[in-house]
Order: sequence, then C-alpha cells, then structure tokens
Amino acid sequence: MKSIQQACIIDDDEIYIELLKIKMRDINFCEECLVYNDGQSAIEAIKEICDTNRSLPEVIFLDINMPILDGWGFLDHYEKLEICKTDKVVIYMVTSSMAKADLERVQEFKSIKKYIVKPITKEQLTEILLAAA
Amino acid sequence: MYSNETHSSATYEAKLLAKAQKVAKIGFWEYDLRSNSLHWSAITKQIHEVPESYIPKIEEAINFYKEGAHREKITSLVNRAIETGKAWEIELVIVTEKGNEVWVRALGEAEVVNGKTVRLFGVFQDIDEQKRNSLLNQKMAKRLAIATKTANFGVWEYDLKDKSLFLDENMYRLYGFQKNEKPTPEEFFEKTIIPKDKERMVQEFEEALATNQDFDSQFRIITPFSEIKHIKTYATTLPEFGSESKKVIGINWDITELINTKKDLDLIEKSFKASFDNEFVGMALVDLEGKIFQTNEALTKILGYAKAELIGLNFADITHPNDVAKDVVAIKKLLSSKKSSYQTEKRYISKKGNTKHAIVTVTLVKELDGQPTHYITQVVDITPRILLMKKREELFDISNKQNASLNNFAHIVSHNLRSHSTNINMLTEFLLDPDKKEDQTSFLTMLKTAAQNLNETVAHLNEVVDMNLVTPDKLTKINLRETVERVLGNIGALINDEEATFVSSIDKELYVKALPAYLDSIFLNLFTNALKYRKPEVSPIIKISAAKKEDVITITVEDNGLGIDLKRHKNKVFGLFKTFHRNPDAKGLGLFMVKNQVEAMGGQITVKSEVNIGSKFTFSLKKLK
Repeated sequence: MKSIQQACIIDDDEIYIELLKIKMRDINFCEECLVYNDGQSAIEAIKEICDTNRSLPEVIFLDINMPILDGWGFLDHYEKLEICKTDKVVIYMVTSSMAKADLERVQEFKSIKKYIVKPITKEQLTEILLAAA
Repeated sequence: MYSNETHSSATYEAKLLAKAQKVAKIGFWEYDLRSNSLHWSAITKQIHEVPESYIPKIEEAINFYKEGAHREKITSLVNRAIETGKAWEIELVIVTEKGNEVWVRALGEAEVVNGKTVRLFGVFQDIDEQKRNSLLNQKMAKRLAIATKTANFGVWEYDLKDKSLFLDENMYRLYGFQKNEKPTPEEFFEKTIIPKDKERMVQEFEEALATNQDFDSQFRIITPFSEIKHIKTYATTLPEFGSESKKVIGINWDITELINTKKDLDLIEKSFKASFDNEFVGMALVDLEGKIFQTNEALTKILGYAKAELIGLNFADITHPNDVAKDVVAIKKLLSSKKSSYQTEKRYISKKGNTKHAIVTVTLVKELDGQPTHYITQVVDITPRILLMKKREELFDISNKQNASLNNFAHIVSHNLRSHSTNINMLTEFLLDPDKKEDQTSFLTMLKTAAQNLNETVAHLNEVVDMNLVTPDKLTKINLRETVERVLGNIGALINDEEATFVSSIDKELYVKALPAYLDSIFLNLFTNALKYRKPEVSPIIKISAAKKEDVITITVEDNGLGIDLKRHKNKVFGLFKTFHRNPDAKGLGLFMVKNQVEAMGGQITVKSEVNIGSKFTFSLKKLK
C-alpha cells in the first residue's frame, strides 16, 4: 500500500496526537506529519504554505474543541481560501463529541469528507489511506 | 232742495270716493282705440312714479310691466280684450319710472261698438304691501308646515260647537291613522289613550275647557300597531270671531324617546353611583387637565392616599414615570377619535412609593353637543397578580436556564470524559500490543498523564455541579466595597508581582444581595483573569466601579489587557472549557463559573472587549431593599 506524502493533525490533546501518530506509523500512513494545537496556528501555517507555493497536506485530521480557534472556526477560514477549491486536501473531522448539533453542523461544510468519532481505528485509517492514494 | 241736496251729496260722495281712491291707491286709465290716446289718472301716474305732466302712450304703458312673464301676460290680456271684448283682472309687477318693483292689480274692460272694441278702461291699484305680506305669509305657512313636519308636531283643531275634528298629516302619522280614516272626536280623544291615562286625561281636558285655560298634559297612546307612545300635548281655546262657537287648537308630539332616554339616564346614574361606590374598583372623576376632582374609597385604598389628598392631584403625579408618556398618547388618541373610552395596563406609584399595576379604563364624558367635559377613570389593582406572574416567570426562567445549562453540562461531561477515556482506551490497547513492547514505558507515562487529566476534569466538573443550587433566601446583605478590598488583599502578592494597579471607586454604603463565597469567587476570577491575560509590555490597570440602577446594582471590572476577539468568540466567552489564548493555565473554567455564579444569584453578566485594548465585564446583582 502506498503511503501519502504529508498528513496534518489539528488537535489540542497531546496524548491523543501521540497515539494517532503511532497508529499512522503502524500502517505507513505518511512520509511526514504536521501537528498544530489550535485552529489559529493551523490556518496560519496553511496560508503560509500556499503563499510559498509548497504542497499542502493531502489529509487533515481536524478536532472540534480547541482554544483560540476551534475546528469550526478553522473551517470558516479554510473554505474562504482559494486553494480549497482546487487542491485535493481531504479533511476528516475527528472528535470525541457525539453531540447531535455537531453532527448536523458538519453538513454546512463542503470540505469535510467525513465525521469520525474518536478513537480512529486502524481500519478507518487504512480506508482513508486507500481513498487518498 | 232735494236736487241740491242730491247734488251736494253727490259732490260729497265724489270727494269721498276720490279720497278713498287715494287711500286705497286706486288709479284710473282709459285707452281710446280710435284716437290711439291713453289717459292716466293722477294716482295711476303716482303708482308709476311719473310726473303729473307725463303723457302716457300705449306701448310705453305696456313696457312698465316687468319684463318676462308679467309683460307677456298683460300684453296677451290686452290683445284678447281688443279682439274679443273680454275683461281682465290680474296681479302683476310693474317697474316704475324710478326703477322700483311694485305689485299692482290691473283691471280692464272693453267697450264694444258694432262688434268692434273701441275703448279700453280700467283701474290700476297699488297692492304692493298687501301682496308682499301675503307672499310672506304663504312662505311662512310653508315654513311652518316644514317645521312641524320635521319636528313631528301634530296639529289638531276641534270645534266645540259642531264637534268637528281636524287632524293634520303629522297627527295621522303620530297616531298611526290610515289616510282614508276619519277618526271621530271620541275615537281621537278616548280610544287612542291607554286605559291607565284615559280618565285623568279626559278630566284634565274638561277642566281646561271649563276654566278657559290652556290644556297642557302628557299621556300615553296605543297605536293600531300596538305601539305605546308617550305624547305631550299643548292646546288652547280660541273663540271664533263673530260666532258662538269655540275652537280648541292643539299640538301633540312624541316624547317617547325623551322618556326612554331619561329612564336610561336614571338607570345609568343609579348604576354609576353603584359602581362608584364599588369597593374593588378604584374610580375617579378627572378633569380635562388630568386633575382628580372626585374619587372613591377603593382608589384611596389602592394608592394609599386619603381622599382629601387625592383630590386636586394630577393623574400624572401618581403615574409611574415610565408610563406618563404612554398616557398622554392614549388621551390624545381618545380625544381625536370617535371612541369614548380606552383600556390599558399601566403602573401607579402609591403614596409609600410602591409600584402598583392596574388595568385602567378611561371614559371620556361629553356634553350633548359633543364637547368633552371630564373623564371617568376606573382602576383595577392587579399588582398581586402581576407579582405572582413575575415570580412565576422568574422561576420559569431559572428552570429554563438550569435545564439548558444541565443539557449543556451533560454534553460537556460526555465530551470531556470521552476524550480521556478514549486516550486511556487506546493506551491500554497499545500496552497489550506485542508489537509495541519497546514503547511500553512511554505508554505508561502517557497513561499516568491521561489519568491525571481525567481526575482534574472530574474535579472541575464537581465544582460546576456544586453550583446553580442557590435559592433567593440564601442571599445575604454584603457590603460591596469591603468584599472587593478583601479579595484584593488575598491576591496582594500576585498584584505586586505583576506590578498592577487596581482602582476601586465603590461607595462604602453600597450593599448587594449575594452569596459571600460566590461574590468572592467572581471578583477573584475577574481580577486574576485581568492579570493572567495582561499585555506583556504594559502595566495592568484594573478599574472597579459600581452604580445603582432601579432595582439592581451593576458592577464593572475593566482592564487594559489582551482583550478577547468577540467577533470570533461571541457565544463562547462564558462557555465551559473554552479558552481564547495560548496560556498553559487556561482551563476554560473561570468565566464559566463567574457567569453561573452571577446568574445563580439572580444577576446577569455581559462583556465588552477589544483585542489589545482590554476587556470590560459588567455584572448586576440585586440591590438590598
């Protein structure tokens, strides 16, 4: 199975990030993984990648509850960017929230591929990889 | 002698005649067709207002008649007399030499010789005054007829001698007689009157006749349509000139409506008196300027004023200041509309200064001519109901809020506990994974952190659970300034470290109703937040102030720190576990607790903030009464 070049985790739970990274390594998910602890730093980084014409991560795992700018706030900014229309960035919303309101709100954002409740299983990761590669 | 006498008496008679003619303004004229000569007597000339020397001509004479119908008429009459020898007598208008219009009676006769008219002659009389008077009379009679018809006066005439009865059109209408009916006096005087009134009426009438006095009475009739009518009659006896007989002329008119209106009025007056004395509805008579000039017991009870104190007061004086403008608008509307009253809900201030809620009905009283005279104000005290409703609303509000926060809390609990449990779950999976034996130590370290995090979250949630259970009776009187000073004292070391300045301008006499532990916690959170989220390069300055509002005290804490991006975080500022800065100490608990504590004590909190300028928190607490 071919791994992707670059993945991105946007989450404020350090432990979870470590564990997800291990799971990704187990199946050779990606060559490189970017990590941001809140929506604000993530959106700034993505803007910079665009400005410097580097390639964007192919898959983003996005948490909802984060300080400064949460997952929804990130999406608001992200969907206003030019690249989201052309680039093949696939965003997965990964959260421990099972709130109905959150599930419904996902429909408002075209850029979300899927809503996944934590934890992501090995099978789900494999599926995501297959879809991306 | 005889002839002399005859002669002299003839002369005398001629003189007398001339005089009579003069007095009666009768002139002569004569027209000889053969010689085409016209002769006018002196009086005829006078009537035409021409000089004595005037010599009339037939064409000119005709032209003295007023142009149009008058002139045409005389022309045709004269022509007819010439052709057929027929005499005439007519009343027409001439226009005199001086331009005055005068009614004249013109009489003419023809002298016919051998079937041919040879001479016309006649008299000419000034009847202007009589004619005008008679025209005036006709006009007045007509006017009277219209007046009696519209006023529904019926006129009747009864000849006492030949027992004949005349009833005019209005009488027929009034009594419901058919046009072709000819009621006899007996039918008229007795049968129409209802039995109860008949005897009295007959007696009164006979008495009036016997004493030659006017008959002025009132009775009820029953019409053929079984309609009872109240009739007022006024009659007088007129002796017929030169005759033995006497006539009674009377007018009758229908006063049913008047009587009914009076009955209604009496009823209204009675019921008004009854309602005015009502012990539950406050009532006042108010002049057009709003000044009370009469009031009842009930109103004095509602407002707590004695009757004497209330009279002379303007309604605006006892109206809640916020409702005065509304009253003015309502009164203006009432005065300009066709409606006679309006109802509204408003507030009064009692003598003791308490707010009284009332349903008020204001009725505008008008004179018959529509001129407003005063108002009747009815006041129903609904204060107990309103207070109960307010209490119920408050309770409903509280339970709603608590419900919402409980719901919210459940989500938060589920979310926060889930994130920890997920982590622990994953870690244990990894720990059991034989392929990951070499990483076990790091997994165990993470597991410990995860367990600690879980513990911490549970502790925070406990703090939240303990809250929200404040009932109003647990609130006590707290001096605001002392509380602020105590809290500042507790964080003195921190203030020193941050080189911060706190400026408190709270009146030392300001007391609030609060739970001491909550109020301490609120100030502590707001103060430490102000220090935690200070600008690195700027010394923190925090201003604390308080202001009295109607029934609350609002407290403001303003800093010059980092501020919060409200556009982005508007709905989350006071949310649980919401943080807005990259501060390792931020747990997203402080402002959540502050908001919940303020609300638990019946207050409200708002925030104004601008990034890099500072934040301003304003919260309200109940004032101590």
